[in-house]
Amino acid sequence: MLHGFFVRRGANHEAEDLVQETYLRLLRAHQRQAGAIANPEAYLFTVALNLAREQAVRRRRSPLPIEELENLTALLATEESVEDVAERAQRRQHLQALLGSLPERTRAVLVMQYRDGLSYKQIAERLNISPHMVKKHVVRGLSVCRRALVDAAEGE
Amino acid sequence: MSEAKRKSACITQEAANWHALQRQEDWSRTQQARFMDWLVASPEHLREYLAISRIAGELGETMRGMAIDLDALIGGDLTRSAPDNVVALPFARSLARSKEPPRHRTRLLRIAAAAAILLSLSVGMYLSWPQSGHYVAEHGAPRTFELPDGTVVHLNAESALSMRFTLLGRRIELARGQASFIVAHDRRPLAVHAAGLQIRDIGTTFDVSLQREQARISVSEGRVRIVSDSGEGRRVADVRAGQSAQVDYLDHSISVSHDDVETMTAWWQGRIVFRDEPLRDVADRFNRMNAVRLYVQDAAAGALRLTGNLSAHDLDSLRAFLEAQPTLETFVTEHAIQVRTRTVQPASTRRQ
Repeated sequence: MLHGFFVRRGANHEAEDLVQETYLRLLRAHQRQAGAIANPEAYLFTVALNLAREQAVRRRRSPLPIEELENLTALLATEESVEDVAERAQRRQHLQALLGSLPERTRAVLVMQYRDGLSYKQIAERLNISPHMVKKHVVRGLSVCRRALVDAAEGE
Repeated sequence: MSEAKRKSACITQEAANWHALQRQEDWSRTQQARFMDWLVASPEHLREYLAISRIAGELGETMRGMAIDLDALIGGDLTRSAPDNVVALPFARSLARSKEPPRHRTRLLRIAAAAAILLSLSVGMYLSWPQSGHYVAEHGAPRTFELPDGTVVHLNAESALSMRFTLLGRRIELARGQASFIVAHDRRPLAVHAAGLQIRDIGTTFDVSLQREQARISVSEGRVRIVSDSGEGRRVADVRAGQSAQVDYLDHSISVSHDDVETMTAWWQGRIVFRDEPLRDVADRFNRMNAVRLYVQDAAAGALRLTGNLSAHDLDSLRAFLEAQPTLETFVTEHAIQVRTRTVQPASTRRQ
């Protein structure tokens, strides 16, 4: 699915470069200070975002005036402007359909987790199940959505 | 299923599992280290993790745009444990977002084209900390609840707020009414946005009340900084424990007064305590709580400044209190108490 997305964008190589470069930086940081990175997820996202910004700036031959650079940063910070609106709408529709196909309980867990921001414990209490089960629903819901999107892209 | 496909499905499963584990409360250092090991084991892992994060973010966005009846999903027998006045409103945040002129945008879009791809993944990052929600307290039903970071919120009746916690910050928006925040310590800063102001804080207890002409920010513990929410974020004031700042909606002019903490938190216990406040604001506070409404009939009465301490539901005491004011008179109509400036006293009493 990502592949299809990249090809349509005509930016396959750049995107792959970014993933690779993010990976290398993470790997280097890991080897240099194993165990010192308290929050790998936050670290990963920071690295990825910085790289994306750097690349966006590099693609301009002439250095950007400061004012424009700030605009760019602001632009990069909002997901709306960097992503093709049609693509987004399509994915959203697909996700809506996928949500409908999930078991009710899994759907309820996803709603409480991702829409309402409740903790596993809060969700568990509300559904009268264990937090462990809540986590299982989350994993299942995410996996199903991800695989379906992959399949859809490959089928194109 | 082909071998490659089976393998990739397996990585999806692992990535989703790590993603879900991150959001577990008792996530240990050892687990973080194991997660890091998994992440750097292969670029495939990293790519998949980003993809899952993106989906998590998009799910939140998608569901916010859908009308989902959570109670129906869960089933009737379980709903009794749920607070009955949580209303999840679908809110559309896409339309009013960008105000960049289109041409400028197009050019910047081109610049950002390649970055967009990875970025749309890392957007997952902002969204994948998918802690957002909307809370409403109905008329007569103030409520207290805890946000995912442990911050406790007292939300007064007829009030609404929404929150959005990301990797980098905790943002709360008070749409209307009044709320107190007992802020949990967290490395992410917390800011409450209300009426064009931003109240920034790290680890304190404070209250924000949107009154008719001004926002009132009271700090009962610690200290907050109030900045203007527009433009360069001009600093409006720093407010310390025991102080209340009243900020005018129009020009952000400010007056700071001293207030004792009990006054600030009295409404949590259903008391209405006011010190030198105009009657119209006092009336608003009663009207949030009661079916019988207090109507202020003229501007002079509305502007009258009063000091008192009353139970929010004790309307008889309220009426007695108002009657005791030399310039006010009250009368009762159906479902309402009317209050107005006392008309000229009868001639007979005058002469005496």
